[in-house]
Amino acid sequence: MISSTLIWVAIAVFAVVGVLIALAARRENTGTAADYYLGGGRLGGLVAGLSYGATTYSAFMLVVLTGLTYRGGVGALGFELIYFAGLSLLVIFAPRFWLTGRKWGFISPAEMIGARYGSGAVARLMAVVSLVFLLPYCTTQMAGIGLLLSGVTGGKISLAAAVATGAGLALLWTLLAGLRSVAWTDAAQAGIMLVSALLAVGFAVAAIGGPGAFVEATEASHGQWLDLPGPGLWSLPTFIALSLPWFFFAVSNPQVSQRLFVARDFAAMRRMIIWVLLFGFVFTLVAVIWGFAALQLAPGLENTALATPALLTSGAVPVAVAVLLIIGVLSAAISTLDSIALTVGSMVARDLIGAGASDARQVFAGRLVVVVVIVFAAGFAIDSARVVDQLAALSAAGLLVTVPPIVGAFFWRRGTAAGALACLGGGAAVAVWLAMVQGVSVFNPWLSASVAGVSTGLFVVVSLLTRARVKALDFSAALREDLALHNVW
Amino acid sequence: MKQQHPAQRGFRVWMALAALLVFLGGFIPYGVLAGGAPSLAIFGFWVAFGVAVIGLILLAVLRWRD
Repeated sequence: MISSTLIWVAIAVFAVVGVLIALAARRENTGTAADYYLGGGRLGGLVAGLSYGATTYSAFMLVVLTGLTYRGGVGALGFELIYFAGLSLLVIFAPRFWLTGRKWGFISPAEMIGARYGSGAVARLMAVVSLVFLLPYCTTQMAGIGLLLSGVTGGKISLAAAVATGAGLALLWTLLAGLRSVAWTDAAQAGIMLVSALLAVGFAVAAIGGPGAFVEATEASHGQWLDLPGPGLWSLPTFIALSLPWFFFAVSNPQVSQRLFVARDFAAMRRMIIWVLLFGFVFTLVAVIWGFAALQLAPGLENTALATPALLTSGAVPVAVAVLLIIGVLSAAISTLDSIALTVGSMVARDLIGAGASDARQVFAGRLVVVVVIVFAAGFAIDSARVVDQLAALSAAGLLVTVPPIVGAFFWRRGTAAGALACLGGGAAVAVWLAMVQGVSVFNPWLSASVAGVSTGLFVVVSLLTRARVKALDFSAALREDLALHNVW
Repeated sequence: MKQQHPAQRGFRVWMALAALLVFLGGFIPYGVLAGGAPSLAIFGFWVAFGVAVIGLILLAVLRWRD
């Protein structure tokens, strides 16, 4: 076990550095809603890219993905890399989001989609759907922190204390300066995540005898884990069930798609994408190799989500590196949590309260929502409510319903507000009904296929049966010149 | 016959390559490599797949004009 005092000291240092960064960010804020939620759209490529990476790659990576590798082997790498391949959607959507943001001053993706279809109801429903599926996802981040801290200290740091710590830091960094403090702390946290994970995996592999011995040992003792479907988890249907909704994550999840508004210029946006690619690829490989290392150094775990705590306390990784990795996982959870809270806050401020409200009112409303979201997530992480667990597992499949109206916004002029409303409402209802009433597992490909099929079908059919609103915007015509100017497909 | 704008043709080729790559990302490991003797073949394939994804995205974003 690792001394809880040592971990508290490390968290204190981490917190102080984070607060200093957030305070520095606060000095740059001007008080407008655009500044609070988007950092004024003036972020450089490095900060925007690392922030995007830290937001996307959450505690899921070194807790759940490592556990999935431990349980099922190499299929976890394929699943995560199909998700990674979904970043190719940025080639199509990043310039379009950014250009519409500049042209019309959108702050939230829901606001953009609402304006495209000329309907405040579309924006509101999209915001509500995002809320329903994202809040439980926040809870899993909190639970990840709790699992790790209590696991490595043998329960000396309780779940409640761990969750309260994560919640406190996420709250502080979000409330201080909004997106700018979130992005700056995210960028620093991305560095911690990457360096700590690389160091830890390096020590773990060295403890097994180096890369060659590691491969030999894995082939000899866990050869099945290098194959498909592995020891059972990664059947083709399971692989498809998990990969399909995650492939669209870059578009469907507003906490990352909102990042497409924040780059200061086109060059910064390109650098942002390149940083995300590099960060994501390396971090994915490290998380999976870490899972394979745990199979060698901490075999026989029944709860595979405990693979990371077990490996950290196995003696293979020096205590200093183990503590750094614990801070890395804490960083991964907080950077995702505060970004989701801020995005949800912006959607409530812009899409539910209205862009017509004063900047001060929009920022105040967002701050209030941030508090509610983080307190909600903390409360349910401690309480471990079944309904929240179900919704969290459903989040990726549920958010698929936002994809057809987003694609249609840029590529299908015939799409209408009624079509978008039917898609969002009908698709979300189907997702909840299948998963929570019919008990269809997220490991069953029919769940995400049905949600994608029903939402797309409703969008197309209802759009064809209805007329576009007069005030609907025509993005494809309005952006044509700019896209050509920037040589974007 | 309607002539395609070169940029449009480039986009379609890129989209087709992306779709093919994602398909192969599932098909090769499950349909071709699965069931062999324990080796790094599937792991190695997916690493190469990740590198190919990076290459494909860079191919598109590096042509953007600031």
